[in-house]
Amino acid sequence: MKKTMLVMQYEIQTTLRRIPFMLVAVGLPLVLGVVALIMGSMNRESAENLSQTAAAETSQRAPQGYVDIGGLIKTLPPDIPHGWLTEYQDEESAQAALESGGIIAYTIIPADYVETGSLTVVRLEYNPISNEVDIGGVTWSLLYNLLGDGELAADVWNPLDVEWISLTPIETQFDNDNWIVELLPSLMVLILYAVILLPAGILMSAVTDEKKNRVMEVLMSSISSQQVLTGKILALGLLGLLQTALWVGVLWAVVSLGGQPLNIPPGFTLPRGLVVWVFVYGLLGFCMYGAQMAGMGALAPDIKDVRGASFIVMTPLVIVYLLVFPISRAPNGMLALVMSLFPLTSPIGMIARMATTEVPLWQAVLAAVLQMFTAVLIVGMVARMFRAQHLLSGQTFSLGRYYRALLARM
Amino acid sequence: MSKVWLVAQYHFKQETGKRSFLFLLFMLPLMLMLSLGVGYINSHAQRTSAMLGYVDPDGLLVRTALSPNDHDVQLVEFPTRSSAQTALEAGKISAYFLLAENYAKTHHGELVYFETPAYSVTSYFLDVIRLNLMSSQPPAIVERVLAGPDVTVRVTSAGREIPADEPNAEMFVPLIVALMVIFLTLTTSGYMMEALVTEKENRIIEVIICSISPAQMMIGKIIGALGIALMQIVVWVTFLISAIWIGGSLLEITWLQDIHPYWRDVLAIVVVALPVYIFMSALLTAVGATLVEVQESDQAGPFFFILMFLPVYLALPILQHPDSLLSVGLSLLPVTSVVTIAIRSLFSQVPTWQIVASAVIASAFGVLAVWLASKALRVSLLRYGQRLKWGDLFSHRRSATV
Repeated sequence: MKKTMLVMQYEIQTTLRRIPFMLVAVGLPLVLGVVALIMGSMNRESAENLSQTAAAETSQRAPQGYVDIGGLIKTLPPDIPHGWLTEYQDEESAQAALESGGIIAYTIIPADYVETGSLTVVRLEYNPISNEVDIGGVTWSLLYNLLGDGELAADVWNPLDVEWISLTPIETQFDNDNWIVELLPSLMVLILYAVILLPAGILMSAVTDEKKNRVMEVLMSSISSQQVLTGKILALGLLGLLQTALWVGVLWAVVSLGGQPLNIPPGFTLPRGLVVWVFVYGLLGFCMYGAQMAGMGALAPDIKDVRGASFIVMTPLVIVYLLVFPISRAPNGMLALVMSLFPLTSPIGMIARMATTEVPLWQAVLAAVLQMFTAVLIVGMVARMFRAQHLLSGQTFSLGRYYRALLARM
Repeated sequence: MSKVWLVAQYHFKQETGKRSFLFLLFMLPLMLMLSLGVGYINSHAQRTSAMLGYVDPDGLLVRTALSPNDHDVQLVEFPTRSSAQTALEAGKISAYFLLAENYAKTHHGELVYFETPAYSVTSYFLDVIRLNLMSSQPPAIVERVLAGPDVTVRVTSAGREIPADEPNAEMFVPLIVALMVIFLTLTTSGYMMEALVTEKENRIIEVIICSISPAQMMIGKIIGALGIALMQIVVWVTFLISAIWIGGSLLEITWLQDIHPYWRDVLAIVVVALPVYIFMSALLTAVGATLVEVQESDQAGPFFFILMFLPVYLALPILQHPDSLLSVGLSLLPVTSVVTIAIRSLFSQVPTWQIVASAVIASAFGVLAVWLASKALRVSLLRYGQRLKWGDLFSHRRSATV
């Protein structure tokens, strides 16, 4: 055990001293969090500016024009302010008025408007972000004239004065159209991706590096291969937990401090249960995938030889990532259930479900237990690969050789 | 020049011959198409899910479907509020509308729900009310009123037309091109960085430098990287065109039909992207020359990715003020120019002088970066195991060590 702890200690110290690792695992979430908060502050100013611009344009009801080629508008509705909507005989006269500043826009109504519905609004400048296209006057006038009945047109224009009655307690009401509610499953999935794959990749390269620089030969004379593997997995598992804490901490800070500038609903917080399970599944996911990557590292003479093959190993994670949207849309459906219980996909699948709905505790525990058994199984299989004959060989890496060794048929 | 060409050829063949390169070359667009396909299938699967209840004491709603084949929202009538409430609590309906008994006078109604219904669901019910109110009108007028107008904004200063409701795909072509360029820059430059570090690690670089100068080697590698990038562009554009054809013609996705990109904007991106690509390739090569291990070169990539994507985080201020100091500044800075110009091109036309200036600045930085890369390579040649400090590049001290 002492030797295993020594390997673990060394691996932690070496990895923490690697500036690129610190910058990606630690610096990146901090930078992204700070950028998000600064952007929120800038976006608040931009949003205030654009709401002022939009308010100025609509509150003053800047004059507009229209060119009615088919003669559909015979009379303007009485509630349209005098001088606000002006008819022009042709595009040239409308364009001249536009360029002289007499109107801010004019609408071209074709003769076949009823068939095609096509309306062309002409403006000198237009930015969808800060300028609204106000054609309410033209469309109201068209409705008024097409129906030929002012009262009917008013009824059709606004058919129902709706009183919205929510039966959900206020503290649990969050608008599903809000970006943080919509994106929470994807954000948690991305965090889990990072905390599983980054340490797993480092574990793989740590093994290949020690093979390449022959340190492995020296190690093999002092400790067993299982002790090497266990020490490395423990070290990078702990670093993975640290990374998880940082990513979740940054997300929590953005949610807590972002507030109105980032359009975070009041009272919205990261569910505590979800955070705990992120740690649990992150660690178990790393054990499953890290061990597989370490096995590849044990067989490969160089890290470059395993890059493409490591993608094959990650395929279950890729598949469940592609299915995050349908899982979060139907979190209690068969697809979501399978993805959240099958061990190789359940770290991501279960978190995607938990971020959307309340998952029964027994399912969460079952997924963790299955992952644990799978991790133990994979670590055991990979440990068989951590033998001198593989660690010291310089044979080129191939997926076939990897799976044969994993299944101990070599 | 022939030596430069030899280095370029070798680098090109070495990278493109790897199975991992071919795997990534085809896997990336295939995965993108797969994820789009999954999204499309899922959006279709979700369409038939909304059951909306209603209580209509006055019997206004004779017709309850906008068209016979309409299954997106299904309306279920309940005789009383309590029966609708029971169905809501049992999960049989997602929400229910309760029209007031004197609806004709007040136009009042209540919407009762646990989870806020989608806008499309409530909008559907309002359209059903409209349909019944216009029961005596000609069908063509009813159809037009319910469908609403199809509004296009013609912007005379930019000489373009923009759909008012939802963007069409052609607006995003410059942005797609820019993102492809960024991805290409980072992947092929990553190959170069890795190749350089590997050649340092296995000492082959000592042999190469006996025959050609570091500058020639750098230029040869950059040309080789350009060739790799062109190959990726051809494959990805082929996939993109196939995806657009499948989406527009076979799946009949409306925003993938009739795409007519603004070729001036696309050309602007290409004109700026080429020198930016050379600059970034040379810069990453210079970084690679300072690194000791291949693994470190992998981890350096994400930072340049974040830098090049900075304009995306600033998209709102750039879009709102496309001619501000921030937008123009980022358009001239080589690292951010490609994405910034693409974002500005969404709704406005970037002035020609800014495009030319951006390309010229990127070219100048590119030349500087190539010089820096060759100097870094020369200085780092015999420093095996030692990370090169940037200050050493400009130091005039001569080292006595071999």
